[in-house]
Amino acid sequence: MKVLIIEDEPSMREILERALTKERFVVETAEDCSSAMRKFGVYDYDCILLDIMLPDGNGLELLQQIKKMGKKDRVLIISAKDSIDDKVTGLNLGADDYLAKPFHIEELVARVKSLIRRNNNSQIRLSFTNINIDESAFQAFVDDRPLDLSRKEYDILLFFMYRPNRLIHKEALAENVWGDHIDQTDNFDFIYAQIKNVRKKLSESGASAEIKSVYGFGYKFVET
Amino acid sequence: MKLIYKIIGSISLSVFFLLGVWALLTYFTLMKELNDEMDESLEDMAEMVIKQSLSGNMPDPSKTFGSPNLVIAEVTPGYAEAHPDNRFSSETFYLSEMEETVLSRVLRTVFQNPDGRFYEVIVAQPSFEKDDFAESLLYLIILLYTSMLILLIAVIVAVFRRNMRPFYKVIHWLENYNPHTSNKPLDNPTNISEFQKLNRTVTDFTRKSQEAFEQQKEFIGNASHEMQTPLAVSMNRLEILADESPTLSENDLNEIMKTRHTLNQIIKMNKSLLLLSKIDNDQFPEAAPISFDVLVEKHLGIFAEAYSHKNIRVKTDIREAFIHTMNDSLADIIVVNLLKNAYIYSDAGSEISVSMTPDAFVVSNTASDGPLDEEKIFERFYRQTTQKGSSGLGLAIAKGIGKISRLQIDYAYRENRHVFTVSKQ
Repeated sequence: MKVLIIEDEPSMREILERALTKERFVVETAEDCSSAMRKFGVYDYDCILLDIMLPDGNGLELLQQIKKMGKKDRVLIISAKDSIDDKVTGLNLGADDYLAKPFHIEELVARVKSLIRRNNNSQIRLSFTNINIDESAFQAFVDDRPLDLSRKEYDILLFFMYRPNRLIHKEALAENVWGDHIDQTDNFDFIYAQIKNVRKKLSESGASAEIKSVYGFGYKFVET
Repeated sequence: MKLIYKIIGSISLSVFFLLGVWALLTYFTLMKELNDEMDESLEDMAEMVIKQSLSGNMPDPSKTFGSPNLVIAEVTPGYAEAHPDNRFSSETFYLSEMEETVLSRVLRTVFQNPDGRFYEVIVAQPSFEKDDFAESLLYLIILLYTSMLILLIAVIVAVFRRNMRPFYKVIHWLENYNPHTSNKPLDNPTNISEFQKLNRTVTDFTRKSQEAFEQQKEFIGNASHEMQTPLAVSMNRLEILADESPTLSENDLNEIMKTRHTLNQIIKMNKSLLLLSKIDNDQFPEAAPISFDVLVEKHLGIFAEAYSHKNIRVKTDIREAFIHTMNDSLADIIVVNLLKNAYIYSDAGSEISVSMTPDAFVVSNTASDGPLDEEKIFERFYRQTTQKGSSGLGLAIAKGIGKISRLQIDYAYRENRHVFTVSKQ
């Protein structure tokens, strides 16, 4: 799986590269429009991470170029602007997703994975150990036995399935499953109640992965 | 108090006294003149009587001369010596002619006949005619006085209105002036130099304030925008550190997570500031009719779950949907911020009430310590108490959204509750 990161901020670029390399992607980087053009002019990528504000041009123009060349590469816009206009224009120009800076690393990784899944063979279920999920049917399975989950429980499991073996902070989980507005609540007990249910259902159905608590502030989805 | 009333008041007061003094002076001068006139005629009368007496024809008092009544009586030389002059007096006097006692002007004078005997002549004239005259004079003066006062005020008002027009035009223009929007230029031609100066100064100041406002907006926007990437980098580095370093102890990890949490607060605040600057710049053009009941239902569910540890009761009274045409994400933010505000500032076990009619959407929560400062609660970073989870921007954002979406957001303190009302402008 090849990913191209187009980002002018060196520190940001390094972080993105590290995070994606860890997920075993083949990562290439470009720091401006011209070097990016040279790269995707020659190679095909499974996913392109595109920053909108670049020193020698606008990322949106670059996006137009990519689409004009008839490339099938998935494009994920990452922008510091977080403006609805950019989001709408970007998606209209053919970008596949939009992520506003600042974002959580695991969120970015999950989005990239999800894009690549869409690109290739989305018929194939998302899987980790003996657990798999049919995203089009909103159904989780353990060894092909359907798992009976509530809506929230399904969302939580899906969230972990995209981020296995990563340290997930409760805040990030809450924002993702309950929505952005849930930030900064002083008590995350409501997450614990749901996690408990998911854990119980996973172990009862014989799943070989579990949601482990990490020192009370986060979770890790790991193989047992 | 309006300036014109103030001016009318002050002028009326001073003119009232000045004209009053003038009227009194006129009245008394005229009355004195009248008395003098009367005394003179009495003197003439007495002189005539004395002349007749001296010529040997002592007039018969019973035969009066015209109107004045006449009494001639002999007096002792001693009395004559004691009263050498003409004596005028106002007294009640029996007028034989009218056969009754009336208030009269009386002249007493003593003379000596050629035969050496002393006589006193008393001539009297009833003064009711004079009183009648005085009365009409008084009425006339009062009439003159009041009509003059009224006319004067009318003239002042007319002159004031005509000459102060440019002043009121400037005030009106300033009242409608809003540095957030583009404004009509001040069109106020005048050849009065003071007003020209006022026009110039006002135009100058508003231009400067608009510039400062633009700069401030731009600065907040740029600053928060420029901070996004460094914030993202710091956050992500902490995440990588926590995730990838196998040697970290629980303590280290805890510190990292606490730092990350704080950093997250800065990120949220920065996002809120960006949002505010976007609202100020009116960067949310799309509008569609939004049913607030749907939004309330959606978010109440989430909040109820997230704040379940607080055991807050929610009372909803949604009779009919509040529908308003505006940007959907902004409508979402208003509802979230008001509900969140109620949840954050509610004590455990208290009650939040949400009600809705076609005209208003009301959120209220139990107040634990009295009313909030109405003037300040919608200001950025104003917090009466420090509360975990409050950025100090939520209500400012709601107010800002209201401003560009033609929604009125009001705060009131009623029956020990903080009540926030959203209504159409």
